[in-house]
Amino acid sequence: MSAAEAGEPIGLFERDDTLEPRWFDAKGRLRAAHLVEVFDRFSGMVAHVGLTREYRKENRRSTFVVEAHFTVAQPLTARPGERVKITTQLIDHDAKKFHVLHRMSRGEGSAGGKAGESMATYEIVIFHVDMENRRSTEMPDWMQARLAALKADHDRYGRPQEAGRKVGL
Amino acid sequence: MTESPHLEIHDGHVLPEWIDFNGHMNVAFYVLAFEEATEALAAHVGLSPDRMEAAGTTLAVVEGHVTYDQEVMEGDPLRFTTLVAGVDAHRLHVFHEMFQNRDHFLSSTNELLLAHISLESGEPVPFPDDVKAALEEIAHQHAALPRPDKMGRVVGIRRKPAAAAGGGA
Repeated sequence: MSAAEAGEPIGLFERDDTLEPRWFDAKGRLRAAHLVEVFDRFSGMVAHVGLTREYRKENRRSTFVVEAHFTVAQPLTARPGERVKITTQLIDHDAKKFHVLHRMSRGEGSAGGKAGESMATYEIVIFHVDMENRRSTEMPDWMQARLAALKADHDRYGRPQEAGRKVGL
Repeated sequence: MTESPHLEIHDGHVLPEWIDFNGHMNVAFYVLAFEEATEALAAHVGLSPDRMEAAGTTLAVVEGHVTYDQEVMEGDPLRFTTLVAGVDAHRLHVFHEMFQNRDHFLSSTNELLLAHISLESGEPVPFPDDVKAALEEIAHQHAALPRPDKMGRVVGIRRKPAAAAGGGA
């Protein structure tokens, strides 16, 4: 039994990354597409629940994002080469899919603002997919159990204020 | 192919570098393709890249929502439609749809909140009068149309009886 299944604290998943200069245009803007690219590099959460490369290959399974919502706190303050931290919180799941919110915050020594300041969020629903027919399919019981344990742990952080938003003026 | 009552001012096709390990167009590149559709809209209403360059402004993404409705593959022809949902002094609310233009299915939608801001300070800059008038004219025409059901969505897992287990993007 893993620590997660034993009910020990897991905490949010954290990962350090660097905003690559090639993601900025000539005017120094980090384009939204590249913001998505950073978030799409995924977190330790995928490995934690067992969605490893080996699992995908051996079982002909993969994951597809079906819906996404992103918010950008300060559109122009990201800097090429800036160190950022990505944290990942599991919000919800069922047998076939899960709902997470990734947050990008400034790293230590940031030129654009204070370390820890939230820069952007990326909220997604991801389907577990059978690559034979490219349709969603149930996760194995052990994976669902890991997600349930993770959700029980992450619920103590509360729902992020950026979750569940609509776009509008 | 059904004609859309929305603007049709952009098209394209799926480039080889947009394909990921799942063999389909990667999530980040949908956002990139939609940014090109936004640039086409900006140029259509007189806010060309040259004009923004001269004014020292940019149109920045503040918030976005993407639905991934059906996969597209390398080389697929794409057609975009754009609905102008609202405009104020410096912000713009749009809804793009992306169709695969061989089999004519909806592949993805992107709802965006954009802000016209100063590249120097990041502060809001009012749209030029002619641009605002052009956007208002389109928004007025589009206000008479039914709102697409993919607009105004929130990300989440919907628990309805026999929840849809769609193929996903």
